[in-house]
Parts: sequence; C-alpha cells; structure tokens
Amino acid sequence: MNTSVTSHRRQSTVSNSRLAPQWKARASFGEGFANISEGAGLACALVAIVAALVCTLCASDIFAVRSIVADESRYLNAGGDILVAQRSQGTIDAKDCTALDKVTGVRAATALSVIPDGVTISGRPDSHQTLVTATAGILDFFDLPYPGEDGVIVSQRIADRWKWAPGSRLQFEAASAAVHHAPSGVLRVAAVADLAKLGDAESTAILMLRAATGQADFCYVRVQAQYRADITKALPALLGDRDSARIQVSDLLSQGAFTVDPAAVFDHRSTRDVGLLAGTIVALLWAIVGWLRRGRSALYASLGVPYPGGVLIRWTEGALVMTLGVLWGTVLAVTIAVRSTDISTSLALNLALRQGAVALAVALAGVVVAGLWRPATMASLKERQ
Amino acid sequence: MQLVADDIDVRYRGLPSPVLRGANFVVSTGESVAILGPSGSGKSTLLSVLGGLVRPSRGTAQVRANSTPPPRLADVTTWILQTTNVFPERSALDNVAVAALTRGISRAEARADATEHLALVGLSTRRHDAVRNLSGGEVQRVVIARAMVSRRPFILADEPTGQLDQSTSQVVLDALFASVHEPGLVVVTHDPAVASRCARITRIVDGEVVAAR
Repeated sequence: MNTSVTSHRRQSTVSNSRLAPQWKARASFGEGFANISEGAGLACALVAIVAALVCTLCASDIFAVRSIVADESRYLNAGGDILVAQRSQGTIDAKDCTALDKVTGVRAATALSVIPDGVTISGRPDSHQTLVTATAGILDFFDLPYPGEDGVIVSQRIADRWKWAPGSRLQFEAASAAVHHAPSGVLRVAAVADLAKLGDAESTAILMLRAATGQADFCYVRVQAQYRADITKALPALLGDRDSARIQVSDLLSQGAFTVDPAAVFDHRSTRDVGLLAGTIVALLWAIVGWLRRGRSALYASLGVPYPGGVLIRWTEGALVMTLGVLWGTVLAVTIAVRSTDISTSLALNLALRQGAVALAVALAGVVVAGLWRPATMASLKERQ
Repeated sequence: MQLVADDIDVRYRGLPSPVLRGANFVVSTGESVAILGPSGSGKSTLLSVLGGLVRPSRGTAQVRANSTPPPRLADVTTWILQTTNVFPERSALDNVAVAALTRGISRAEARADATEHLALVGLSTRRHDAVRNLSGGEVQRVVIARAMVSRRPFILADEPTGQLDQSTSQVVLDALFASVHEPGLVVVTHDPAVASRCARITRIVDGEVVAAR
C-alpha cells in the first residue's frame, strides 16, 4: 500500500488554479437520480405515499363529478335547460319565438300551444286527448327527425294507453265545436317521446307540428347553461315585451324536483380543488423529508458541492419523486374510477389529468422552495453522528 | 498557502459566553496540526471556522495565498468526519466519486479516480459494496479516500478515529497520514496517539488557543 501512496503523492500536487468549485449541473442531476434510485426503500415509500394521496383525492373528484353528471342527465331529460316565456295577458308571436334559434346560446326554440281535451280518437268518444301544436323547433328538443306531414309524436303514456307504436295509424275528431282546425285524415305515429319534458300537462299529449305563423300560448327555449342568465334577461325584449302585456320568463323546472342547476353544482363542488390540496400536502411532506435529510444536504456541502449544486440535487430528487408519484396516482385514480363505475374513460382522464397537473405544479413549486433551504452544515453533520 | 484565523471570537445564539475567544491559528500546506482539548472547549468550532462552515463573530478567517483574490476557505478544504457522514446506501466507489466530481471532471473520470484512491486505502475489492455493509474502519478509510480524491490543499479531520477500536484506528491513521504529504492536515482529537503523529499540537482551553508544541 505504501508504494501506491507514494505514487499518489506525486499525482495529488495541489494546483492553485483549480481551487474554485467546478461542480457541474449534470453532476447534480446524476446525484439526484442516484440518490433516488439507490435509496430505493425510502424513494419507493415516498412515491407510494404521493401516489396514494393523489389517487384518493383525484378519485374523490371523479366520483363527485360522476354523480353530478348523472344528476345533470336526469335534470336535462326532465327539461332543466328549458325556459318558458308567456305573456301575462294574450299570446306570443310564433315568428318571434322561432327566430330565437338564431340567438347565441339558444339550442332550440318552439312556439307552442296546448289544447286540453282538444280531440278524441275516432270511434272512441270518451277518449279526450290533449293536443299540443308546436313549430318545427320542437324536434330539436327531443332530437327527433322531421315526422312528415301526416306524422304525430305521442307521449309514452299515450302510446302505452292506446298501444301505439311508431307506424301506428290513427284518426282524430274535434272534441267539441269550439275546437277549430282539428287534424283530419289518417295520421301516423312518427315517434314516441318523453313529452313530460315540456311539462306535466304535456305528459299525456299528442304533438303535432304547426307553421311558424300566427300566435302561440308559450315560447319554449332550450338554452346552453353558460348563456342561461343572459338569455333569461333578454327574452322579454326579443318577444315583444310591452307594458300592457308583459313577457314572463320562468324555468320549466323552477317548481319541480330539480331546483339545483348541475352546472352550478359542478362549479362549486367541494372536490373542485383537490389537485391544489394534494399538491400542497405532498409539498409539505417533501419539506419535512428535506428537513429530516438535512444531514445529507450538509454532507454534500462539506464535500465541496457549492450551494447551487446542492439545490439542484434536491430539486432533481424532489422532481423525480413528485412526478412519478403524481403520475402513478393519476393513472391509478382513472383506472379505479373506470373499473368501478360507468363513467367514461375520457371524462375520468380529463378530470384526473387536470387535478394531477395542478397537484404536480404545486408539488414542484414546493420542491423548488424547499430545495432552496440551506441547513447549517456543521450542526446537521453533528446530528448525523 | 495557509489557513489563517486571526483573533477570532465565535458566539452561538443562546450561549452566554463565546465558544472561541481571541483565537489565533495558522496551518500551511504540507503541515499536520493536532488540536487537543476537553469536550466543549471549541475544537470543532475552530475547525468549522477554518473550513468556512462557521463565520466568526469577530476577527477574520481566511486563506493566505499568492492568487488574487485568495480562494474561499470552503474551496480549499475538505473534511474527514466520523463514520456516519457517508451515503450509506451507495457504494464505496460512489461515495468517493462524489468528492472527485467537485473538480469538474466527468462521472466516468471521477469513478476511475475513486477506484484508484480506494485502492490506496486498501478497499479495492470492496469498492462496489454499499457503505452500510462495511465495517467502521473500512468506512473511515472510504472517508479518507474521499478527502484525498477531492485534491483540496487542506484536510480537516474531526475525531477521525473516534468510533474505532485501537487496532482499526492504527490502520485508519496509517492511511490518513500516508495520504497527507502535499495537503495540510488539521486533526481535532481527544486521542494523544493521534496527536503524536502530527508535526504540531495546539491545545484549546475554554475557547482560548494555547500553542503546545
């Protein structure tokens, strides 16, 4: 050994020109990576904790949104996106109403009139039926194709009662002399639809198309959620509001079972900021880990690794742990949600990726801040002993 | 080149009196100095000041060199501490290579240099073992190899054999003193046997430096 040492003495002559620290950034990346890969037990535990936390919180948001989506589906099926305009006294111009479908945020508009006990089925004098006439925009309320001139749309309850199905033939008679323009000739059931969406009175109705001329009792407007407030405000003016006969606008479901707007519920859901919460918790966790591992940071400093090099090592370690943990947690949350519920993969992925991205951004910000902390070298080294 | 502490005081927050009072100390490259003294006398604090880890409350600690400006204390010193100051899960080779990387060389070059220095302290065959699997004496030889490979002008050793038995201490000290020819060595120790191997001995009593030999 002594021979080698003698040889070494010749090699290790101190050079004044090489005294400044020459630690390279890539050495920091290498050390950070090595510390994580070789400290497998601790690193795996940290990644698993981050993943479990992110997975739990992301999954809780996915489940919450799934519930909201189901509620929204029921809400829309029940007519939750429909506004009803009517005049306090009198009727509405059908042309004004049908023209609303050109307004931004309006999905469909139809001028509608209800004639209770308007017709009877031919040959069945006691079969009084509510007749609903509506302009063509009604088809967009139910996503129905044009039924043809002889086609009518019947509610499910009516179809069940008279055992009608699409294609069934029927004929009406005016129920009384007061009813004008009762449909004549043989008609055809073009479709069976859930007309209850238009209101309770329509749940047992027969729907016929009418021309967009003349007057109507109501104007039904199907709106996009984000334009709802603006359109509600604008409708009176668009429909010819005047002092003598005000236009009143109401939600179709305002008095029904669905009094909560799912879009608002989505915006204010309690799990909305779980990504932020997850990121904050794991960032705090990393700060604690950094404090517990301060001796390691001090050791690098005592070896001559300059402060920026030490910071870069800690950033590399933190970035690896956080990225792996958050990615794993996000994928796990999507997998659990898709396998255990009927939520679509794209929706689960969309939600989880948004929350995961926020969690990762916050966690990395925490890693950056925590990595800047400079422990007292000697005190930290003594604590290791 | 010299490390110079000139009339320094060091006070720690929360302590009523200074840990070091008016301390003067000089060590040159190629020189070995032992610092002896009872526990709490300020030995490790003086070493920390020389290594640039603790800033004196009064007085100056600096490098005296021909270059302008003179290098910083932290840039000319390396440490040999007790055996716990290693990366236990990493190999002996990696532990030594880290210090070589501070010279700005590539990782491959650092590992080659580390291999050479581990051979110098007799750990060639164990270089790939995780440090946690080495004995106390072997770990301390890893630490010595780490100090050597950094090629700093001064090695500061704080109780380098404090946790070792006598025979292991002899092996470690042989490795340490064989390695220091060009660099200056400052050793803080309680052990007179360690001190006797140094060219000069300085004592510290109640925070004051007393030159002994």
